[in-house]
Amino acid sequence: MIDCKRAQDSMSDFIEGLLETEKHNIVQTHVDGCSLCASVCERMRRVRDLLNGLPQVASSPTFEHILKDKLRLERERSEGTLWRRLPSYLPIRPRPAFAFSMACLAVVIGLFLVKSTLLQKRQPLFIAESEHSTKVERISPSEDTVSLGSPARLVSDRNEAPNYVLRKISPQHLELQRGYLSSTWQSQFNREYILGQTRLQWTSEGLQAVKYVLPSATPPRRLQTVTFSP
Amino acid sequence: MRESAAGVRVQRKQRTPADEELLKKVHEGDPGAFDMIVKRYKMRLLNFVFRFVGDRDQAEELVQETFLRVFRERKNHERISNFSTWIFTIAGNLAKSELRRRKRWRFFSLDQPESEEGTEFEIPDESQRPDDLTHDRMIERAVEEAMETLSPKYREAVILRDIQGFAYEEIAEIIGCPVGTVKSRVNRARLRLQEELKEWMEGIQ
Repeated sequence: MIDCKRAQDSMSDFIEGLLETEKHNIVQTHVDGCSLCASVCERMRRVRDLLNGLPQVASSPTFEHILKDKLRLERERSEGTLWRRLPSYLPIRPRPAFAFSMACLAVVIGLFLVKSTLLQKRQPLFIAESEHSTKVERISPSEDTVSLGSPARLVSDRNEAPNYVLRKISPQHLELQRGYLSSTWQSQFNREYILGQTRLQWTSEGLQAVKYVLPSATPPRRLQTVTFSP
Repeated sequence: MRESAAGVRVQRKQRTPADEELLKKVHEGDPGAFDMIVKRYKMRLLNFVFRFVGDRDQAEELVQETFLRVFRERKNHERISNFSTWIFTIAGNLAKSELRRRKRWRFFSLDQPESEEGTEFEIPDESQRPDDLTHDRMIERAVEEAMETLSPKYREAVILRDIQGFAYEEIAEIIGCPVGTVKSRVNRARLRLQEELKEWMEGIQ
């Protein structure tokens, strides 16, 4: 004899006739004498019939059409070049998740571009000295750095001193280089000592570099003014 | 078969290509071969996946994905010994993944705080009141509800056995576990289903 648990453990095989004769008889004897297991056995048979008799669901009319579209994209992906494959990665039907992720990506790229532009503007620029450069960039209180097309030079009245050409200047560099730009210099021209000074000053037109030459024992004389203005 | 000398035409019985042969033809670039595979398996897979996930649109998408995966694997056709069990394995895995995904979502949605009374107000679905449903639909619905109480592994086993009619050996191949385990799962699933449907079955007697 077996108990209910063991009988029910073999119930599927029992109703399907998959048990060996000896075991089948043992379960049969138990089911014959146990109303509980007899009910379970009967209900299990009915469940099996119910599952077996469930109606078949039909596919929608667009099933194969959509499948063919997906297969076409799949072929393009596997056979085409990278450039031709790109559109195949886009979903056939618009999906909110995809659209949202694309929007996020666009925002991130936009922020990155804006930030990199700002960073570029904030980058300290340099002041170059060259005799041959023709480009001078000016600075104004409202803008960090703006290119100026026309050449500008700081020259002495005798064209003998080295030319100062301010290629680019930023407020930071103005601060950093103020000492240099505004330094007093001294050189000798035609056996005459000249004391000179370059001064940077803001005017309504922009940054102005003024060079003064101070011949010995003479009052300061303004030689040339270069205004870095638009 | 040959045509006899007297000109009597003997009907030639065309041999149906095996699934594995069809997949090989797909690999060789025969577009009709894949259509034939789709035609052969579309309904069986759709019904299998539908009974598994309980949503027809979802089932269709999963079946389409199954066919796409078959197409992707066409180059490996030599490694596929039993196409039928292989394609059901793919579909079953996709269906299980879908159920897992839903479970995660359900977890998140159930995690929401309840209202002060502790119960949410639900609008009854008037479109499907029991008295409006046909007898067949009532049976189907009762079975569907009972099936939902089964965990995926028991559900898969009983669908493959009682709805799809696979042999236990084939199911073992599809699920990837021993025949004894499959039998045990089917038995437990049936026991659970008969318990779930007990009142309903007694009610209609």
